[in-house]
Amino acid sequence: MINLLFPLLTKDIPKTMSDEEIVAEYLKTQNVAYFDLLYKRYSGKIFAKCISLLKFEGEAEDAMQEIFMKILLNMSKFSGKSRFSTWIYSITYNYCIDIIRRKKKDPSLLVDNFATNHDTVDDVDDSFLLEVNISRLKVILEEIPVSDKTILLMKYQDDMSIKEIGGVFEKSESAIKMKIKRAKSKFRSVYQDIYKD
Amino acid sequence: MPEMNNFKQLEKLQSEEFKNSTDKVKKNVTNSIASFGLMANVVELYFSRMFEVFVDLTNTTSSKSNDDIDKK
Repeated sequence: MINLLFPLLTKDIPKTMSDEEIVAEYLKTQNVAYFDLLYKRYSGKIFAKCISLLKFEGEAEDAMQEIFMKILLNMSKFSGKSRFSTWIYSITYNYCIDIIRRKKKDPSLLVDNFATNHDTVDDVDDSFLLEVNISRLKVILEEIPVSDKTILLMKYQDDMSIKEIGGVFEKSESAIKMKIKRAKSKFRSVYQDIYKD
Repeated sequence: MPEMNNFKQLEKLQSEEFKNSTDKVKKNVTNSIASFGLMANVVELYFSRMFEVFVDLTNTTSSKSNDDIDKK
């Protein structure tokens, strides 16, 4: 009750607590200090995803506020079946994809481009993507379609499994594998176009 | 500790670059939490009372109607 009336009242929380333990304590006590800790852990990462997908700072700020309110209001629905990070990244990606779809910024997200026709796509080795320096990586991610960027961020930035990515897009694992293959191929072709040397 | 690759380094750089934005959003989220807390308390304190009043009112109305029928 006091915590609800005076949400800024905090208490010392061990920083070593796992995300799942923090969520459980927050749900039990409603102490906003637990939410504060989750915010500290994830706000930077979530903002990086929002700015990367939405491009504009103001838009990313609005999106992040909405995403954290969604997290807060749906915290009790977190079942613990997946990692907490996967759960909040799914909320983040779904929210940003929804905004992009609504604004029709990227038509590739409007159509079902997860078709599993096994057209000839070169298999690009992971090391090619992981050895690109950061400034070039930033440029390439700006150039490739949002759907390709999203799936590459999920795989290489968030360490999401194929099954977890499939859960976000509501697609089969084989469709996701094909989509990753295409995204990697697109990444390499854009890289080669820009950095011909 | 997850391995730090170039994608994660880019994420780290972006989160440091936009530190002001995350602080700004935090203030808004904190304010919203405070408002929700206040609303929750208002509902908690007055909703049950409002329900009782509503029940009382409906009882009064139905007894009045019964009285009317009796008079007739």
